[in-house]
Amino acid sequence: MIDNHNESFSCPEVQGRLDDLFKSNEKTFVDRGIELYPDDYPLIELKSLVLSLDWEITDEIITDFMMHTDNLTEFYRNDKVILKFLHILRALGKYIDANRSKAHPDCFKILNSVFFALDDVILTKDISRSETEKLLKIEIENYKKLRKLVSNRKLTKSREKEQYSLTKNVPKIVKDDKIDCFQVKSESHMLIVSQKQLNDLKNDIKQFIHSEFIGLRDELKNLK
Amino acid sequence: MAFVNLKKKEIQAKIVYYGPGRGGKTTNIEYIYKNFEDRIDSKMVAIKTQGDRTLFFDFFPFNIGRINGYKIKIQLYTVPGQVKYNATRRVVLNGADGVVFVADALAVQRKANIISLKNLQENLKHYQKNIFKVPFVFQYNKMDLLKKEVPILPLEALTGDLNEQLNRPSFVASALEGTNVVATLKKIIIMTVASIKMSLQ
Repeated sequence: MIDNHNESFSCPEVQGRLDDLFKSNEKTFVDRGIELYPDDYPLIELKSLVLSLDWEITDEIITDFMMHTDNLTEFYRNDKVILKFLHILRALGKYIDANRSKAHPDCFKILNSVFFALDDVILTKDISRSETEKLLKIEIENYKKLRKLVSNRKLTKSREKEQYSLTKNVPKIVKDDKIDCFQVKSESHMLIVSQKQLNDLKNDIKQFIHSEFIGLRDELKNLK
Repeated sequence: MAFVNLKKKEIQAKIVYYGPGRGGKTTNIEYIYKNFEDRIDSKMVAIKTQGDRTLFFDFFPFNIGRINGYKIKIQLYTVPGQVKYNATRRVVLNGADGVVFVADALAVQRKANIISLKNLQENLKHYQKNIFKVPFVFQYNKMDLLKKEVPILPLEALTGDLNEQLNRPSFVASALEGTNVVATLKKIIIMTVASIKMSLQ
């Protein structure tokens, strides 16, 4: 602790009680050594940028991030596993750049996860090829999951838009006895809708509601 | 103001963890909960959004036992750190007896720390409380990132930006690793209980 506290707040009884309650589980920086990375560690800048992206997305950070992944891609051009890690990082960077604050929240988790796996691969001495490939496989799976989440999100949004445009200008349905169908009148156009088309519409709506429920269940799972 | 039941000899104190978004407020409470769950017979309640952000608040009540004949109950709360949730922050801050300000030591968060502290001062003022008089502890979190060579604000900068005028106890910490999490909590509990004791006399 930095010793600038107000002594008038001393309370030995409480101190004793708290010492009992929280004993043997305290960590302080005094007994911790700080391990520094080796001087030639190539990911220092990228690490700083990955962590910065988690907090704030600015043009400067994004540009630096892309530049550093490109530099590292050149640096590791002969290592296929590391290159794949870097490709994922670059793809995530592009996605974040395009979507900024609207990016899927999981993409930042995956960005960190991919980076720290790469960090492990580069920093761990004597790491075997199979171990690095295993780490890469996990991150590829994570990336694929994210892509799926993003496309589901897009699908849901476009359906919401469709739904909105449908409800915005709802046509009036008028029964016409002369023909075996419904006449749909709207301000801008007139459509003839058969019974079959109406049934198809109903089925589409059912499917939409079903897919919405699936999406909601996924969201709930993520919340857990 | 603390809830004091003289008949039952019970004191309930509310401690709020305040600070910028993603600064580690929830991580602090989670660390306490996970590591002392067996000793603290209580459950933590957290409401989060999809991206693990605190949407409303976290709540973790526990007893520290009897002191001078009074049963002391502590309630830990966090506020959502994101700027847009100020109404929630203000509600959670209502009736706070002690505050832990979890500052983010990441260099990119310098401005966010200052804005959040200013926001705390304004929200306390809303409840006619003076930031200079409320039991208050600073925690400079994420100091573990130093060993990863991530740009971190030097202690002098953190102190200069946040604590120069207030001059409150402060801890360098890593909520993720648990470093100084307990020390911070102990300090704020001691200060809060002492302050309640003084107000009762």
